[in-house]
Amino acid sequence: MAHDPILAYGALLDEDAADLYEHAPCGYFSATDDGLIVKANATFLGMTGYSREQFLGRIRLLDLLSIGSRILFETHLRPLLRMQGFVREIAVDLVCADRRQIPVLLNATERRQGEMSVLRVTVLDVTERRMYEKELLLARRKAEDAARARSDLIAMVSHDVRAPLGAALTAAAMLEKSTPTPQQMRYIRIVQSSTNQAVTLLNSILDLSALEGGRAILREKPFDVRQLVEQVRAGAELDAARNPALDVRATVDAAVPERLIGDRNKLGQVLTNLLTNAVKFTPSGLVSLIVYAREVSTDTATIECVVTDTGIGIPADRLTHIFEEFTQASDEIAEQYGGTGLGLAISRRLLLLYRSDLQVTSTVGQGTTFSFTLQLPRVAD
Amino acid sequence: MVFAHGFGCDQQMWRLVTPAFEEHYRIVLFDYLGHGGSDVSAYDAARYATLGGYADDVLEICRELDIEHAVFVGHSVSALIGAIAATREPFRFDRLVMIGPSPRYLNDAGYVGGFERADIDGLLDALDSNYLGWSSAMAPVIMGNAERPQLGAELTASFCRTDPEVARQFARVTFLSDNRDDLQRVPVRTLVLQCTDDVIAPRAVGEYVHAQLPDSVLTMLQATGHCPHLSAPDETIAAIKAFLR
Repeated sequence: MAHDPILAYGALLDEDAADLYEHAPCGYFSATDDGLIVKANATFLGMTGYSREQFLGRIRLLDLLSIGSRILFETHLRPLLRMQGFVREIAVDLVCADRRQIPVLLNATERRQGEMSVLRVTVLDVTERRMYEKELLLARRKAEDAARARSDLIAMVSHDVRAPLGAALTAAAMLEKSTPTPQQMRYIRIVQSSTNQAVTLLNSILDLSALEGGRAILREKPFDVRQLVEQVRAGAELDAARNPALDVRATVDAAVPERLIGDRNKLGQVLTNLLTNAVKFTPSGLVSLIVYAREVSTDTATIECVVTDTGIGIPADRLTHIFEEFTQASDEIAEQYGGTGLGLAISRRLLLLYRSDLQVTSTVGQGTTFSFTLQLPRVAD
Repeated sequence: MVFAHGFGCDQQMWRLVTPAFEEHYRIVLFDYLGHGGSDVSAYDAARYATLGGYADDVLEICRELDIEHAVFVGHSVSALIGAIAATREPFRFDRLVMIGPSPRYLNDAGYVGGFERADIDGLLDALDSNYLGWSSAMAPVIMGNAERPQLGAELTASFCRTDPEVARQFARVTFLSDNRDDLQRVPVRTLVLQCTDDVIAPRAVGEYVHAQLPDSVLTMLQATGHCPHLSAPDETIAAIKAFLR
């Protein structure tokens, strides 16, 4: 005779369902329209320390919530329940029989039948999870405070360093006019170039600290894309003038609108950083900037700026590190080429203001390509 | 009729009530900044540091739409926002309807608001936990709801969506400020709708509001909770209609 396991085990299986209700890993209860709790499983009673007699038909849902959670429930959850019939994973505090509070995640579903409704609620004890969450929040707050303190310090110190540097430059300029001997002139040039280097470094640090401290804001105005690109290209060409083996070119796709609305200075700073790097690390060949139109609508244009060089390239294992502050591809690079290692970090943070990011691909000995996309509003005709 | 939503919600919470007034009134609905479909980027923490900033927004809407001698219906904190707006420009509203108002939530000497400072800190913690830890919980997924055909199918996913920072400040401004002095200055006839068993605005507070207002009617509703316009729309409509008649 055929043996039907479901029939044979029927009674046992039914018992399983009841057992699951009672001893499920989460608390479970049902409340009537006016919040009176009429059914609850053993897990919930164990969690809150109530006896079945104390609990059923005597306690209301709101009585179980801390006062803060009650306000949240009445102002947020009740309307949500009424409108959509359920709420999911709401963090509230339950008050136990001994007045102890435990943090829980609550799911509730409202079942309606005519004028009557029942609220079915599952409750998950998240004491440990909440502790972990609080630690994370605390750590984040501490980190943010530390970053702010550091950036304030940098801003203050930088200001104090800038004044004497300015004085040194002024003094050097005056010396230059006092008919120095050729040897004195050489010394003056050393003073000037070292001081200028220090000022550049200082400016970069200030930029970065403003960006880190969240003080940098976008100043968006209409600007001429081609004019900006030409200006950046001309600057890079001047940089490359010492190297006759290097060519600098820039192209803007014809589909890129003439005028877009954006922060011209910050965009210019990013492009200049990328081109200056490219020129620095390309002994011969070509550095090119191309601006592509990726998507142009009546209101906005998405453009992609791509800077490609035929330079020394970046080893694959260093690619992710080059965006870190004060980091260069290697110590030898830093020694040979100089620089602060801040340019890419700054560029990346500037682009973050536009929710954009720098992409990089590189082959050692063949060259590097940096690119980013921006969606900018068009100037209304 | 201008309907103003309370803390934690947006204009969609009026959808069960407004149809009853459409025949005789022009209905004006809006979301406070940071709520529902509003433009969060226009939020200015300094402006909204007191309920006065919100009242100015209400008046700005009135100016823009040329609203004068209207009825203002405010739920919860909006009842007080309406009181301030009506005091600043009395010709805007001829009648106020306050649903579950409370001019001060904290207990004070000789005054029972219902809450202690620690309770409000608990609310702020609860807000933090929900917005920071489980933000999906506060961005509900609205789907076709066969059990609630009266809500219509077009209910959007923005229902009750509030910007976390805004919610935090609005909670502070709502639950920590003291607007008791504003009540005596309200220059128009006001209906105070008081629910049974409202933990946010207990009956004693409703009675206090009624006693302080120069010209008011207190109507006790059978409805329980803090949102009678959602839980008992018919009773709420009837009470407002009786007051406006």
